[in-house]
Amino acid sequence: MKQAHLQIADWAVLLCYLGGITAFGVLVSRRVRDTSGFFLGNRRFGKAVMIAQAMGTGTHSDQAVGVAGAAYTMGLAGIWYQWMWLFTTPFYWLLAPVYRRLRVVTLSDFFELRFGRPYATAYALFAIYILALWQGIAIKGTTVTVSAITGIPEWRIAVVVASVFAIYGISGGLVAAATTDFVQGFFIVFLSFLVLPFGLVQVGGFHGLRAHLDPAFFHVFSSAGGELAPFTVLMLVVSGLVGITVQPHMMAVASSGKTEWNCRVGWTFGNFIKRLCTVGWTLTGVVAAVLYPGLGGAGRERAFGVAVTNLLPAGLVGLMVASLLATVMASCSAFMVDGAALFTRNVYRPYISQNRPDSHYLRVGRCASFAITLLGFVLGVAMPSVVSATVHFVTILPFVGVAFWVGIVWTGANRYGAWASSIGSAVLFFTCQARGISTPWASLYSLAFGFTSIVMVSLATPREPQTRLDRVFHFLDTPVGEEGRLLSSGFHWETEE
Amino acid sequence: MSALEENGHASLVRDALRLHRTFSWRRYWIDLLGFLAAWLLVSGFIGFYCWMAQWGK
Repeated sequence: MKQAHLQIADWAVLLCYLGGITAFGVLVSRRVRDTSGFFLGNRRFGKAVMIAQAMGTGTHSDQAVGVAGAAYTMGLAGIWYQWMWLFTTPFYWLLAPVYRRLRVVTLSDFFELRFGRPYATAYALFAIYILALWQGIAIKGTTVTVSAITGIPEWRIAVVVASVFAIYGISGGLVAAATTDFVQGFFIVFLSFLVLPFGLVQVGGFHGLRAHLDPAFFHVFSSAGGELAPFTVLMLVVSGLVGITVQPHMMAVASSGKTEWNCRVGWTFGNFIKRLCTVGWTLTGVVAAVLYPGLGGAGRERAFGVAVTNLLPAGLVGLMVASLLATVMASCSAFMVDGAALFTRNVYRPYISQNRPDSHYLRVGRCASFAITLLGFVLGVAMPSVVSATVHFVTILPFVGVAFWVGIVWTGANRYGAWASSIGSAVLFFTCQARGISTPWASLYSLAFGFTSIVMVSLATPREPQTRLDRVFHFLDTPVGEEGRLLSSGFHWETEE
Repeated sequence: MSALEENGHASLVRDALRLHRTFSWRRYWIDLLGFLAAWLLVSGFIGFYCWMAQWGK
């Protein structure tokens, strides 16, 4: 196998990409003059930007590396590590208008309206931590792969990546993050399929693959075995569908479009493009299984990087590295802006400094962006043991998702039910796990408890005030384009179209 | 009930608990058509992948 090193052509491609994306991001930042523009792009995005934003924010290079690694050992069935989310994708079509009609900036804004400030603040603090953690994990995952390909120390790559997306993200907020995603999206597609033609030529096409590999490698379903048993996949899909609604960046991904149609198309089809890219990651892993069979089960996640360094000619390695960096910058810039929105709107403004001009909160948002990126950088690079120790806390997202779903469909849900559901189901989940119950069963018990408890406790305690319910449900019942009805009913909101 | 909601813009998620009273194709056709199309696409993806698994035989 080749030793990893970049040629002059690779450096040229890489520097052009980094310089170009920074300049482009800063250029579009000139359109940002207030917090609405910074946090939600003034809700003016068209379909193309919404598709790119959904794809860019949701795609990380570690997913490509993971799927290629799984395919390296189990064949085509390895795709299900990502394709289990295929079954949640159609629901994005139904959910996008719900987010758009709420006409709030963050999910914490929604929780404050629906279940009061304490629940909203708890969610905001937890979400800020998750976003910083995800930044750290994305930076760490990508720098490990890029370092293996290029030989450049991980910390140097991390500094460059964080600096680039911080420069355009802090100046342009979501406008810069989403607009650059439009460019980064092409790089993500390159990343997915660039190695394949070179690999397939070397192995002699699909006939060559079949000649070298066990027939079980070409089974689409059966080879996954116990790792991806049907009940496990079912529970991952169900808890994923409940939990994805409260992922902190979803408000931006699903509601920053100009129209409900843009939001639906962007969120749904951006994710479908990602599912298509997954096919390329899987085939890359299968090709690597033929060409580099000695990596072993433990080293399977090196398959993608090994294929890149050995198969791509000079210049294209640089393009591949640029594509890997694109995935992390697309995700992290969005996480940075979303975290800043949560801090500024749901922590700083209510608790630290109220009734200040919008320009003040814009400055705070920019400072918070920098701080959250710094926190993510520290979590990802300096304290990997902390990351691995706390990453499982992300698994409690579905238990907050229960409150979102029930809070949207049932006017009777109240704050007491929301607290009981979220805390009770999370405690039950971790208790089950401590007693050795498998994750799918623990998820099932916890979700069942969560849905039951929010209903029972809400029925036994006072309803939320009617004015609070009107703010949420009148808005949900008013499609985008009929804001006149809300205004004539005396409602006002911060991001009036 | 708004004019847009009467003409396809009503939300299946928002109305989940009152669909027995409110359901009609006209009110929910955007949700229903898009949801159906997305499931067809899911089927298409899986079908394509199964077909691809036969390549080279």
